[in-house]
Amino acid sequence: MAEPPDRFDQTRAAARARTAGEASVVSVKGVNYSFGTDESRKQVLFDNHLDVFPGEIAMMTGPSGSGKTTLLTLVGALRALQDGSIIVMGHELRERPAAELVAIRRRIGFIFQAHNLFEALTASLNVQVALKFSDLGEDERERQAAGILTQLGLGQRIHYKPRALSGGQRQRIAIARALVSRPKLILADEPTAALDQDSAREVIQLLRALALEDRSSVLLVTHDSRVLESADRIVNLVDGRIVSDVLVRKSP
Amino acid sequence: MTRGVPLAWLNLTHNPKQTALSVAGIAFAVLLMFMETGFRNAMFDSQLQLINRLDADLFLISRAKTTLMFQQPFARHRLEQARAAPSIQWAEPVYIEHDAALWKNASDGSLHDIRAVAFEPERCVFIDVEICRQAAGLTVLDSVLFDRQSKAFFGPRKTGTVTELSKRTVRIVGTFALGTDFTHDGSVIMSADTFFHVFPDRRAAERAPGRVELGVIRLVPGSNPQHAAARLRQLLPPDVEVLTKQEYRDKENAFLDASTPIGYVFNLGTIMGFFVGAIICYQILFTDITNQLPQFATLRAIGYSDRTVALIVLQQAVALSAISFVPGLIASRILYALIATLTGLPLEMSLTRGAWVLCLTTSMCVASGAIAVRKALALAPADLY
Repeated sequence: MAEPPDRFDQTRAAARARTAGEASVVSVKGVNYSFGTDESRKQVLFDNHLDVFPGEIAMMTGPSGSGKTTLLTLVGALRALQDGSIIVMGHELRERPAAELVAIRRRIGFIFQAHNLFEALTASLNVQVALKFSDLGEDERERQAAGILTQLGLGQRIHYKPRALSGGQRQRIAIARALVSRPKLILADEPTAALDQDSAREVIQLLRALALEDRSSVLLVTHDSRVLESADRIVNLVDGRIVSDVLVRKSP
Repeated sequence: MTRGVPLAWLNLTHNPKQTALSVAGIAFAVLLMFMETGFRNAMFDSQLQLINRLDADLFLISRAKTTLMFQQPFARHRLEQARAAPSIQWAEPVYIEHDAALWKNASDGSLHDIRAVAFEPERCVFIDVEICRQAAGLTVLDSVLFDRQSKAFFGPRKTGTVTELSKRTVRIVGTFALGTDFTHDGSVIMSADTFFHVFPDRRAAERAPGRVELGVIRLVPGSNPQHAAARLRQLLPPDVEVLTKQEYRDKENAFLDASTPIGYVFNLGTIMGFFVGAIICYQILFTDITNQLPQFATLRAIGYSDRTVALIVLQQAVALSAISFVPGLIASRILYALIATLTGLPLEMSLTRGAWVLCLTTSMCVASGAIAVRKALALAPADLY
C-alpha cells in the first residue's frame, strides 16, 4: 500500500487532531475502486488517502467523473470496499457484513442531490422517518422534527406535504431528515444546488452550527462556489486521485 | 410500520381517488371469490337441507346408497331390529320418491318433477317446528305440505289448493320452507298413507319386502351417538349402514366432491378470482413502488434494512387487502341475498366462510407484495448519489 502523496498539504487540522491524539471520524487509506469486471473493468479511484476530523467541514470538489461521489458512497458504506481501508467512526468498513454496514449507516446523515421525499408524508413525518432507530417517544420525535424544520425556515410548513412546497423547501426537508438525529458524520452531495442564495446560506450555517455544537464532521461534494467559503478544508479530486487537500479555515 | 410514521398506510391512502380505484379492483376479486365459494357451498349445502331438517341422532341407509339424490331403499324390518337396540328412543322410516313424482301446476296444468317425502305423522321426524305443527293435518288422506321455496313453475301453493301429484288428486294443507337443490326444484311432504296412495307401486314394494329410504333414529337423551352407532353396526347386517348426522353430511359432501365436477369447477373459479386479485394487487403495489424507487432506496441508505423495507411493502399489501375486503364483503352479501331469492339456493355467509375468503384475500395481497418487494429493493442506495 502506497504512502500518502507528499505533495498534499497535510492539513493543520489533521496535524492538530493528530497532535491532540484525537481520532479522525473518517480515515481513508489507499483506497482504489473499479467498476465492472474483466475486460469492462474501469478503475475510478486510485490510492486515495483522506482524514476528516471531528467538527470539520470538508468539501470535495473536482470535475465531473473525477470520483468524488464514488468516494463519498464508499465512506457512506453504500458500496463494498474493494481495496484499501476506510474507518468510519471507529469502524473498519472493509469486509464488514452487510447488516453491520446498515447499522453504521444509521449513524450517518445523508443528503442527496434529489430530495427523495415521500409524497404521502408531511414535512414533519418525512423528517421523522430518520428517527426510526432512535429511542425517542412520539412527542419527542415530533418536537425534534419541528425544531429542525423551524431552524431551516420551514416552521410554518411542518404539516405540508412535499407537493405543496417549492423545490428549495423540499430540499430543506431532506436536509432536515439528514440532520435531525444529530449524526456525527454528514455526507452530502450538492446539497445546495437546488437552493437560492439565502437558503444555501442557511443550510451551510446549519451544518456549521452542527459541526460547532456537536463536533459533527461534514464531507460535502459541491461545485457551488457560494458555499466553498464555509469549508474548513477543500479536497480536490482529478481523475480518481486526491490532488490537493488544503486547510482553508481552522476548525473550532 | 415505521415507528411513529405509518408509512405503509399513508402511502396507500394519500391519494383518495387512486385508493378508491385500488380498493375497487381488489374488492372485485373478493366478490369473485365469495361468489365462487358461495355457489360451491350452496350446492353442497342444498343437498344437505333435508338431512339437516330431520330430527336424527343416527341415520340408517342402504349400504348401496351413494347419495340422497338417488333412490336406494332398504328393508323396513331393519328399523325394527334397530329399535331393539339399547339407547334407541325411537326409529322411524322416511320414504322418498323423486323418480315417479310429478306435480301438476294448478294454474296451467303443466307437469313438473318434484320430490315427495313421507313419514308417519304420529311421530314427527323433523326438527322444523312449522312442519311438526302441521303434521296432524297430514293424517287426512291425500293431504300434503308444500315447500313454498319451490320454483315458481309449480304454480299456486296456497293452503287449500287442489291439484294432482302423479295423477292423484291432493290438497295442500300447509306450507314449509326447505329450498331447492341440484336435483330438486321443489318438495312436498305427506303422510306414509298418502305416499302409498299416490305411489301404489311403492306400496307393493313396501309390503314385500318393505322399502325405506331413510331410517331416522333418535337416541335416549344423554346417549353418545358414536357409541350407539357402533353398537347398531354390530347388531345389524351389512346391507345397511349406520351413520351419525355429521357422518351422513360428510358422506354426501364426499360424494359430490368425488363424483361431480361441482367442487372442481367452483374451486377453479375461486383460484381464478385469487389470481385476478393477485395481479390487480401486484399492479397497484408495483406502480406505487416504481413511482417511489428513490424514496425506498433513501430509506435503505439511511439505515433501514432490506427486511424493514420489505415489511413496509407487505404492510401496504395487508392494509390494501383489509380495506378492500369490507366493500367486497358487503357487495357479496347483497348478491348472496339476491341470488338466494331468485334461485332458492341456500347461499349462506357464515363466519367461517367469511374468514376463509378474508384469508384468501390477505394471502393474495401478501403474495403480490412479496413479489413487489423485489422492485422496492431494485435501486441500490449508492445509485442515489
